[in-house]
Amino acid sequence: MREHYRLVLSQCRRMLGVQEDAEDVAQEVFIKAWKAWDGFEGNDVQRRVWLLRITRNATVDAARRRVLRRMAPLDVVLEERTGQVLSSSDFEGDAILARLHGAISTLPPKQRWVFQARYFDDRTYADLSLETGTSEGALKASYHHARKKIETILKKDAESMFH
Amino acid sequence: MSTSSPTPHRRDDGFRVTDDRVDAAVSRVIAEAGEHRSPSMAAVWRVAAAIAVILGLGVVLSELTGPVPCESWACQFDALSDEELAGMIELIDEDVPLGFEEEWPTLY
Repeated sequence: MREHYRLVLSQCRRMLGVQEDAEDVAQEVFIKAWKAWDGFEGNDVQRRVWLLRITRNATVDAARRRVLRRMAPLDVVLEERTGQVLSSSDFEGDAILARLHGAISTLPPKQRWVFQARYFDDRTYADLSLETGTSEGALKASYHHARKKIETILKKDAESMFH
Repeated sequence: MSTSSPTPHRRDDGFRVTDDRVDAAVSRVIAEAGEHRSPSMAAVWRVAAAIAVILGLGVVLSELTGPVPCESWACQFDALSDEELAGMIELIDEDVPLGFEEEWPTLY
């Protein structure tokens, strides 16, 4: 169970950026899962897929609520979220990785999820298509839009540092 | 204090989930939800598993009828590699709405 929880928490952490939000959502996911834990008749891999699916829905919903409650210029949001990541006690990456997380956090939640699943977890489109019931074409398009947005954000960011 | 580390196939996202945090969270979950687990969920999952088996049989049967030639636009689009799709997207004006988001409502 600990390893499953670790997986859920790490997915929430990456999707939501803020440690406290991630822990709240991970807890919510696991309480739901725990209630059905014994009744789940699948192997460990299936249980993992099941958990990831619940986590995906919960984090996308939570990310949407977060978008709705805060509207601010992109550069302000980018700065603020990069700062949040860098100052987090559970983050051991460098400033560039924190900036990448900041840029990712500005993506719409579903694009963010697809990008992270591809970029960090190296999951195949076929795998993601199976899990989400979305065509591979739509997922590819979503990933490429996300990548393009992030490239644009980071490029502008780099340019502003030298001007 | 041990930490989660990336698997060989994954890129490190920089976040570390410590054992202490996991243990504390798992204890909270058990305390909050453990007593309230519903036995009826087992029956629900059995029904869900039966439906999954039936759907699986349907998929197997449809596979046995043989592969469908990839002639539709959607099929050919699915078959594009990352590089091919990136090249194609480069050619599209970013201001033109592609409507891909509209394909998502079925996802959640």
